Amino acid sequence: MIGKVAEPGSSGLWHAALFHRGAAEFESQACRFAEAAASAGAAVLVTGPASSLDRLRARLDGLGDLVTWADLAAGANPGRLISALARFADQHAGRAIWCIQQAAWPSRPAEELWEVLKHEALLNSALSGAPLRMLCPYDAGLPADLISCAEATHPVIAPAGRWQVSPSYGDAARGVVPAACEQPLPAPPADAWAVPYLDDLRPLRSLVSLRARAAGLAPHRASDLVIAVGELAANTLAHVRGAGTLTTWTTRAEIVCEVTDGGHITDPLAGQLLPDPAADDGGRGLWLVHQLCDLVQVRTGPWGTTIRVHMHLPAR
Amino acid sequence: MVTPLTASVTTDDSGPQPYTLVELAGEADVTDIKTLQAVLEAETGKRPGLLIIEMSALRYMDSAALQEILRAHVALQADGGRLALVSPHDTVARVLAMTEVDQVVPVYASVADATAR
Repeated sequence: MIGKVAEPGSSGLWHAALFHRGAAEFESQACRFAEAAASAGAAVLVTGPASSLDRLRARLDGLGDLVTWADLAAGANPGRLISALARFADQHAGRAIWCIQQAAWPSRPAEELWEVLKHEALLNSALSGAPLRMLCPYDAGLPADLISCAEATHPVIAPAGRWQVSPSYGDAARGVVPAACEQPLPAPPADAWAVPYLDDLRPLRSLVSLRARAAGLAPHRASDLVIAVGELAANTLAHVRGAGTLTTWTTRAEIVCEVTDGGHITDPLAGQLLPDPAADDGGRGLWLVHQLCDLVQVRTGPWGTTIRVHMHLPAR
Repeated sequence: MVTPLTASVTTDDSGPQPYTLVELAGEADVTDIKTLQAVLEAETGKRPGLLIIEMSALRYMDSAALQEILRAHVALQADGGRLALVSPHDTVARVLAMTEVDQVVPVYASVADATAR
Protein backbone atom coordinates (compact mmCIF):
# COMPACT_ATOMS: atom_id res chain seq x y z
CA MET A 1 0.00 0.00 0.00
CA ILE A 2 1.31 3.42 -0.88
CA GLY A 3 -1.03 6.06 0.47
CA LYS A 4 -1.00 9.77 0.91
CA VAL A 5 1.79 11.11 3.08
CA ALA A 6 0.88 14.13 5.16
CA GLU A 7 2.78 17.24 4.19
CA PRO A 8 4.31 19.91 6.43
CA GLY A 9 1.72 22.37 7.62
CA SER A 10 -0.75 19.62 8.41
CA SER A 11 -1.58 19.54 12.07
CA GLY A 12 -0.49 16.78 14.40
CA LEU A 13 2.41 14.38 14.41
CA TRP A 14 4.33 13.39 11.30
CA HIS A 15 6.73 10.59 12.18
CA ALA A 16 9.07 9.17 9.58
CA ALA A 17 11.91 6.67 9.46
CA LEU A 18 14.64 7.46 6.97
CA PHE A 19 16.54 4.34 5.93
CA HIS A 20 19.92 5.47 4.69
CA ARG A 21 23.20 3.92 3.59
CA GLY A 22 26.05 5.58 5.43
CA ALA A 23 26.45 8.94 7.11
CA ALA A 24 26.76 11.02 3.94
CA GLU A 25 23.30 10.07 2.65
CA PHE A 26 21.76 10.79 6.05
CA GLU A 27 23.52 14.14 6.33
CA SER A 28 22.35 15.40 2.95
CA GLN A 29 18.74 14.36 3.76
CA ALA A 30 19.03 15.92 7.21
CA CYS A 31 20.26 19.21 5.74
CA ARG A 32 17.38 19.33 3.25
CA PHE A 33 14.96 18.64 6.08
CA ALA A 34 16.46 21.36 8.32
CA GLU A 35 16.47 23.91 5.50
CA ALA A 36 12.85 23.13 4.67
CA ALA A 37 12.04 23.50 8.37
CA ALA A 38 13.72 26.89 8.46
CA SER A 39 11.84 28.12 5.41
CA ALA A 40 8.58 26.92 7.01
CA GLY A 41 9.41 28.99 10.11
CA ALA A 42 9.61 25.92 12.33
CA ALA A 43 11.73 25.49 15.43
CA VAL A 44 14.27 22.75 14.75
CA LEU A 45 15.64 20.24 17.25
CA VAL A 46 18.51 17.99 16.29
CA THR A 47 19.48 15.14 18.61
CA GLY A 48 22.31 12.67 18.25
CA PRO A 49 25.86 11.78 19.18
CA ALA A 50 28.29 14.71 19.32
CA SER A 51 30.35 13.65 16.29
CA SER A 52 27.32 13.65 14.04
CA LEU A 53 26.00 16.91 15.47
CA ASP A 54 29.37 18.56 14.79
CA ARG A 55 29.26 17.56 11.12
CA LEU A 56 25.65 18.73 10.71
CA ARG A 57 26.37 21.94 12.58
CA ALA A 58 29.17 22.78 10.16
CA ARG A 59 26.80 22.31 7.21
CA LEU A 60 23.83 24.11 8.78
CA ASP A 61 25.80 27.05 10.09
CA GLY A 62 23.61 29.50 8.17
CA LEU A 63 20.46 28.52 10.07
CA GLY A 64 21.93 29.86 13.32
CA ASP A 65 19.50 30.19 16.20
CA LEU A 66 16.69 28.37 14.42
CA VAL A 67 18.31 25.06 15.34
CA THR A 68 18.67 23.63 18.86
CA TRP A 69 21.27 20.89 19.25
CA ALA A 70 20.86 18.14 21.84
CA ASP A 71 23.87 15.91 22.42
CA LEU A 72 22.72 12.37 23.19
CA ALA A 73 26.14 10.77 23.24
CA ALA A 74 26.39 10.17 26.96
CA GLY A 75 23.61 8.79 29.10
CA ALA A 76 21.05 8.91 26.36
CA ASN A 77 18.27 6.89 27.92
CA PRO A 78 15.60 6.60 25.19
CA GLY A 79 12.97 6.76 27.97
CA ARG A 80 13.71 10.48 28.34
CA LEU A 81 13.08 11.44 24.74
CA ILE A 82 9.30 11.84 24.83
CA SER A 83 9.51 14.28 27.73
CA ALA A 84 12.37 16.12 26.03
CA LEU A 85 10.29 16.50 22.86
CA ALA A 86 7.24 17.60 24.86
CA ARG A 87 9.36 20.17 26.70
CA PHE A 88 10.83 21.53 23.47
CA ALA A 89 7.31 21.82 22.02
CA ASP A 90 6.17 23.70 25.15
CA GLN A 91 9.10 26.08 24.91
CA HIS A 92 8.13 26.83 21.30
CA ALA A 93 4.37 26.83 21.75
CA GLY A 94 2.50 28.15 18.72
CA ARG A 95 5.22 27.07 16.30
CA ALA A 96 5.68 23.94 14.27
CA ILE A 97 8.48 21.72 15.59
CA TRP A 98 10.71 19.78 13.24
CA CYS A 99 13.04 17.26 14.82
CA ILE A 100 15.89 15.17 13.48
CA GLN A 101 16.04 12.40 16.05
CA GLN A 102 19.21 10.35 15.75
CA ALA A 103 18.84 7.78 18.50
CA ALA A 104 19.61 4.48 16.76
CA TRP A 105 23.23 4.91 15.75
CA PRO A 106 24.64 1.51 14.74
CA SER A 107 27.31 1.28 17.45
CA ARG A 108 24.66 1.36 20.19
CA PRO A 109 24.22 -1.92 22.08
CA ALA A 110 21.20 -3.95 20.91
CA GLU A 111 19.42 -3.57 24.27
CA GLU A 112 19.55 0.22 23.84
CA LEU A 113 18.37 0.05 20.22
CA TRP A 114 15.30 -1.96 21.25
CA GLU A 115 14.46 0.69 23.85
CA VAL A 116 14.78 3.33 21.11
CA LEU A 117 12.20 1.42 19.06
CA LYS A 118 9.92 1.13 22.08
CA HIS A 119 10.18 4.91 22.40
CA GLU A 120 9.33 5.27 18.69
CA ALA A 121 6.18 3.19 19.23
CA LEU A 122 5.10 5.11 22.34
CA LEU A 123 5.56 8.57 20.88
CA ASN A 124 2.94 7.91 18.18
CA SER A 125 0.19 8.12 20.77
CA ALA A 126 1.96 10.21 23.46
CA LEU A 127 2.64 13.08 21.05
CA SER A 128 -0.12 12.46 18.50
CA GLY A 129 -1.58 15.95 18.82
CA ALA A 130 1.72 17.86 18.77
CA PRO A 131 2.59 19.95 15.69
CA LEU A 132 5.69 17.83 15.36
CA ARG A 133 7.52 16.58 12.30
CA MET A 134 10.02 13.87 13.19
CA LEU A 135 12.77 12.55 10.94
CA CYS A 136 14.31 9.41 12.47
CA PRO A 137 17.36 8.07 10.63
CA TYR A 138 18.09 4.34 10.62
CA ASP A 139 21.22 3.01 9.00
CA ALA A 140 20.10 0.36 6.49
CA GLY A 141 22.96 -1.81 7.74
CA LEU A 142 21.25 -2.36 11.10
CA PRO A 143 20.01 -5.92 11.74
CA ALA A 144 16.88 -6.83 9.75
CA ASP A 145 14.69 -7.34 12.85
CA LEU A 146 15.46 -3.78 13.98
CA ILE A 147 14.73 -2.36 10.53
CA SER A 148 11.39 -4.15 10.31
CA CYS A 149 10.49 -2.92 13.80
CA ALA A 150 11.36 0.63 12.68
CA GLU A 151 8.98 0.16 9.73
CA ALA A 152 6.25 -1.03 12.09
CA THR A 153 6.66 1.92 14.49
CA HIS A 154 6.77 4.75 11.93
CA PRO A 155 3.67 5.72 9.93
CA VAL A 156 5.92 7.11 7.20
CA ILE A 157 9.09 5.54 5.82
CA ALA A 158 11.61 6.45 3.18
CA PRO A 159 13.23 3.24 2.02
CA ALA A 160 14.73 4.82 -1.10
CA GLY A 161 14.76 8.56 -0.53
CA ARG A 162 11.01 8.95 -1.19
CA TRP A 163 8.37 9.17 1.52
CA GLN A 164 5.64 6.58 1.57
CA VAL A 165 3.12 5.25 4.06
CA SER A 166 4.60 2.35 6.00
CA PRO A 167 2.71 -0.83 5.03
CA SER A 168 3.45 -2.53 8.37
CA TYR A 169 2.47 0.41 10.62
CA GLY A 170 -0.54 -0.66 12.65
CA ASP A 171 -0.85 -1.18 16.40
CA ALA A 172 1.96 1.28 17.08
CA ALA A 173 -0.50 4.04 16.12
CA ARG A 174 -2.14 3.39 19.47
CA GLY A 175 1.21 3.33 21.24
CA VAL A 176 1.28 -0.47 21.40
CA VAL A 177 4.88 -1.57 21.90
CA PRO A 178 5.97 -4.33 19.47
CA ALA A 179 6.74 -7.62 21.21
CA ALA A 180 10.23 -7.57 19.70
CA CYS A 181 11.07 -4.61 21.95
CA GLU A 182 10.20 -6.54 25.08
CA GLN A 183 11.93 -9.87 24.65
CA PRO A 184 12.73 -11.70 27.91
CA LEU A 185 15.82 -10.21 29.58
CA PRO A 186 18.95 -12.36 29.60
CA ALA A 187 19.54 -13.96 33.01
CA PRO A 188 21.85 -12.11 35.41
CA PRO A 189 25.37 -13.56 35.60
CA ALA A 190 26.11 -16.25 38.20
CA ASP A 191 28.18 -13.86 40.32
CA ALA A 192 25.37 -11.28 40.67
CA TRP A 193 24.35 -10.24 44.19
CA ALA A 194 20.68 -10.96 44.96
CA VAL A 195 19.11 -9.38 48.03
CA PRO A 196 15.45 -9.64 49.07
CA TYR A 197 13.79 -6.64 50.74
CA LEU A 198 10.51 -6.33 52.59
CA ASP A 199 10.51 -3.38 54.97
CA ASP A 200 13.80 -1.57 55.54
CA LEU A 201 15.26 -0.03 52.38
CA ARG A 202 18.29 1.64 53.95
CA PRO A 203 20.56 -1.45 53.86
CA LEU A 204 19.54 -1.89 50.22
CA ARG A 205 20.59 1.65 49.35
CA SER A 206 23.85 1.21 51.26
CA LEU A 207 24.61 -1.93 49.25
CA VAL A 208 23.93 -0.15 45.94
CA SER A 209 26.13 2.73 47.00
CA LEU A 210 29.01 0.40 47.91
CA ARG A 211 28.69 -1.67 44.73
CA ALA A 212 28.48 1.43 42.54
CA ARG A 213 31.57 2.98 44.08
CA ALA A 214 33.45 -0.34 43.88
CA ALA A 215 32.50 -0.56 40.19
CA GLY A 216 34.14 2.81 39.58
CA LEU A 217 31.05 4.97 39.12
CA ALA A 218 31.70 8.64 39.93
CA PRO A 219 30.24 9.72 43.30
CA HIS A 220 27.39 11.80 41.84
CA ARG A 221 26.43 8.96 39.46
CA ALA A 222 26.58 6.43 42.29
CA SER A 223 24.25 8.70 44.22
CA ASP A 224 21.92 8.82 41.18
CA LEU A 225 21.82 5.02 41.06
CA VAL A 226 21.03 4.89 44.79
CA ILE A 227 18.10 7.27 44.26
CA ALA A 228 16.83 5.21 41.29
CA VAL A 229 17.01 1.84 43.06
CA GLY A 230 15.50 3.43 46.16
CA GLU A 231 12.51 4.56 44.08
CA LEU A 232 12.06 1.15 42.46
CA ALA A 233 12.15 -0.62 45.82
CA ALA A 234 9.86 2.00 47.37
CA ASN A 235 7.35 1.26 44.60
CA THR A 236 7.35 -2.39 45.68
CA LEU A 237 6.59 -1.42 49.26
CA ALA A 238 3.93 1.09 48.25
CA HIS A 239 2.07 -0.97 45.64
CA VAL A 240 2.84 -4.65 46.08
CA ARG A 241 2.04 -7.24 48.68
CA GLY A 242 5.13 -9.29 49.50
CA ALA A 243 8.84 -8.83 49.14
CA GLY A 244 10.93 -7.68 46.22
CA THR A 245 14.38 -8.75 45.15
CA LEU A 246 17.30 -6.56 44.13
CA THR A 247 19.91 -8.18 41.90
CA THR A 248 23.05 -6.26 40.99
CA TRP A 249 26.13 -7.00 38.93
CA THR A 250 28.93 -5.27 37.11
CA THR A 251 30.25 -5.85 33.61
CA ARG A 252 33.24 -4.23 31.90
CA ALA A 253 31.01 -1.45 30.63
CA GLU A 254 28.31 -0.91 33.22
CA ILE A 255 26.74 -1.57 36.60
CA VAL A 256 23.27 -3.06 36.43
CA CYS A 257 20.59 -3.18 39.13
CA GLU A 258 17.39 -5.13 38.71
CA VAL A 259 14.33 -5.00 40.93
CA THR A 260 11.72 -7.76 40.71
CA ASP A 261 8.39 -7.87 42.51
CA GLY A 262 4.80 -9.07 42.11
CA GLY A 263 3.40 -5.80 40.77
CA HIS A 264 2.04 -5.00 37.31
CA ILE A 265 2.60 -1.65 35.61
CA THR A 266 -0.30 -1.14 33.23
CA ASP A 267 0.68 2.23 31.74
CA PRO A 268 3.44 1.76 29.14
CA LEU A 269 4.27 5.48 29.42
CA ALA A 270 4.78 5.34 33.19
CA GLY A 271 7.74 7.52 34.12
CA GLN A 272 8.20 9.00 30.66
CA LEU A 273 6.24 12.23 31.20
CA LEU A 274 7.01 14.79 33.92
CA PRO A 275 4.31 14.60 36.61
CA ASP A 276 2.77 17.99 37.45
CA PRO A 277 5.32 19.49 39.90
CA ALA A 278 2.53 21.10 41.93
CA ALA A 279 0.36 18.00 42.29
CA ASP A 280 0.52 16.26 45.66
CA ASP A 281 -0.03 12.80 44.20
CA GLY A 282 2.43 10.08 43.21
CA GLY A 283 3.99 8.93 39.97
CA ARG A 284 7.40 10.53 40.44
CA GLY A 285 9.35 7.35 41.22
CA LEU A 286 9.65 5.99 37.68
CA TRP A 287 10.12 9.51 36.34
CA LEU A 288 13.22 9.86 38.54
CA VAL A 289 14.47 6.41 37.48
CA HIS A 290 14.28 7.40 33.80
CA GLN A 291 15.99 10.73 34.45
CA LEU A 292 18.82 9.21 36.49
CA CYS A 293 19.74 6.01 34.64
CA ASP A 294 21.37 5.44 31.27
CA LEU A 295 19.00 2.67 30.27
CA VAL A 296 15.76 1.41 31.82
CA GLN A 297 14.23 -1.92 30.75
CA VAL A 298 10.75 -2.76 32.03
CA ARG A 299 9.20 -6.21 31.75
CA THR A 300 5.76 -6.29 33.32
CA GLY A 301 2.60 -8.33 33.23
CA PRO A 302 0.08 -10.04 35.49
CA TRP A 303 2.92 -12.37 36.56
CA GLY A 304 4.99 -9.51 38.03
CA THR A 305 7.47 -6.79 37.14
CA THR A 306 11.19 -6.69 36.54
CA ILE A 307 12.88 -3.35 36.01
CA ARG A 308 16.54 -3.40 35.04
CA VAL A 309 18.50 -0.15 35.17
CA HIS A 310 21.96 0.41 33.72
CA MET A 311 24.69 2.95 34.42
CA HIS A 312 27.66 3.20 32.03
CA LEU A 313 31.04 3.01 33.75
CA PRO A 314 33.81 5.42 32.81
CA ALA A 315 36.18 3.96 30.20
CA ARG A 316 39.28 2.39 31.73
CA MET B 1 25.51 3.97 57.24
CA VAL B 2 21.91 3.53 58.33
CA THR B 3 20.24 6.64 59.66
CA PRO B 4 16.52 6.71 60.46
CA LEU B 5 14.51 9.87 59.96
CA THR B 6 14.20 12.32 62.85
CA ALA B 7 12.21 15.54 62.93
CA SER B 8 12.39 18.34 65.48
CA VAL B 9 10.02 21.28 65.61
CA THR B 10 10.58 24.77 67.02
CA THR B 11 8.70 28.03 66.60
CA ASP B 12 10.05 31.56 66.48
CA ASP B 13 7.65 34.47 67.07
CA SER B 14 10.31 37.04 67.88
CA GLY B 15 10.84 38.59 64.46
CA PRO B 16 8.59 40.40 61.99
CA GLN B 17 7.95 37.05 60.27
CA PRO B 18 6.96 34.39 62.83
CA TYR B 19 7.60 30.86 61.62
CA THR B 20 7.57 27.18 62.48
CA LEU B 21 10.83 25.36 61.81
CA VAL B 22 10.84 21.63 61.10
CA GLU B 23 14.37 20.23 61.02
CA LEU B 24 14.67 16.88 59.26
CA ALA B 25 17.68 14.62 59.70
CA GLY B 26 18.59 11.17 58.43
CA GLU B 27 16.89 9.46 55.50
CA ALA B 28 13.22 10.02 54.62
CA ASP B 29 11.67 7.22 52.64
CA VAL B 30 8.46 5.26 52.22
CA THR B 31 9.24 3.01 55.20
CA ASP B 32 8.93 5.78 57.78
CA ILE B 33 6.56 8.01 55.86
CA LYS B 34 4.17 8.09 58.83
CA THR B 35 6.77 9.94 60.93
CA LEU B 36 7.01 12.68 58.33
CA GLN B 37 3.28 12.69 57.67
CA ALA B 38 2.44 13.05 61.39
CA VAL B 39 4.84 15.97 61.90
CA LEU B 40 3.77 17.85 58.80
CA GLU B 41 0.05 17.29 59.35
CA ALA B 42 0.32 18.43 62.97
CA GLU B 43 2.24 21.59 62.05
CA THR B 44 0.23 22.57 58.98
CA GLY B 45 -2.92 22.01 61.08
CA LYS B 46 -1.79 24.89 63.31
CA ARG B 47 -1.95 27.15 60.23
CA PRO B 48 1.40 28.90 60.54
CA GLY B 49 1.99 31.82 58.19
CA LEU B 50 5.36 30.31 57.32
CA LEU B 51 6.51 26.73 57.72
CA ILE B 52 10.19 26.13 57.08
CA ILE B 53 11.62 22.67 56.49
CA GLU B 54 15.35 22.72 57.21
CA MET B 55 17.01 19.94 55.19
CA SER B 56 20.77 20.27 55.65
CA ALA B 57 20.97 17.08 57.74
CA LEU B 58 18.58 15.16 55.49
CA ARG B 59 20.79 12.74 53.55
CA TYR B 60 18.13 11.15 51.36
CA MET B 61 14.52 11.78 50.39
CA ASP B 62 12.44 9.57 48.12
CA SER B 63 9.39 10.56 46.10
CA ALA B 64 7.01 9.31 48.81
CA ALA B 65 8.56 11.81 51.26
CA LEU B 66 8.47 14.48 48.56
CA GLN B 67 4.76 13.83 48.15
CA GLU B 68 4.23 14.57 51.87
CA ILE B 69 6.10 17.84 51.47
CA LEU B 70 3.84 18.76 48.54
CA ARG B 71 0.79 17.89 50.64
CA ALA B 72 2.03 20.33 53.28
CA HIS B 73 2.59 22.96 50.59
CA VAL B 74 -0.95 22.55 49.25
CA ALA B 75 -2.47 22.61 52.76
CA LEU B 76 -0.57 25.76 53.75
CA GLN B 77 -1.46 27.56 50.52
CA ALA B 78 -5.14 26.78 51.08
CA ASP B 79 -4.87 28.59 54.43
CA GLY B 80 -2.96 31.56 53.06
CA GLY B 81 0.36 30.39 54.46
CA ARG B 82 3.52 29.28 52.71
CA LEU B 83 6.09 26.52 52.81
CA ALA B 84 9.82 27.11 52.40
CA LEU B 85 12.60 24.53 52.02
CA VAL B 86 16.05 25.40 53.34
CA SER B 87 19.53 24.12 52.38
CA PRO B 88 18.81 20.73 50.84
CA HIS B 89 21.83 18.42 50.58
CA ASP B 90 23.03 17.43 47.06
CA THR B 91 20.96 14.25 46.78
CA VAL B 92 17.80 15.91 48.06
CA ALA B 93 18.36 18.97 45.87
CA ARG B 94 18.73 16.67 42.85
CA VAL B 95 15.34 15.06 43.52
CA LEU B 96 13.74 18.50 43.98
CA ALA B 97 15.27 19.72 40.71
CA MET B 98 14.45 16.69 38.56
CA THR B 99 10.83 16.63 39.65
CA GLU B 100 10.77 20.45 39.23
CA VAL B 101 9.20 20.70 42.67
CA ASP B 102 11.83 23.39 43.34
CA GLN B 103 9.93 25.51 40.78
CA VAL B 104 6.78 25.21 42.89
CA VAL B 105 8.04 25.25 46.48
CA PRO B 106 10.69 27.92 47.08
CA VAL B 107 14.13 26.73 48.18
CA TYR B 108 16.43 29.02 50.22
CA ALA B 109 20.03 28.82 51.33
CA SER B 110 19.24 29.69 54.95
CA VAL B 111 16.41 30.21 57.41
CA ALA B 112 17.25 33.92 57.38
CA ASP B 113 16.72 34.03 53.59
CA ALA B 114 13.41 32.19 53.91
CA THR B 115 12.09 34.64 56.51
CA ALA B 116 13.40 37.73 54.71
CA ARG B 117 11.05 37.40 51.75
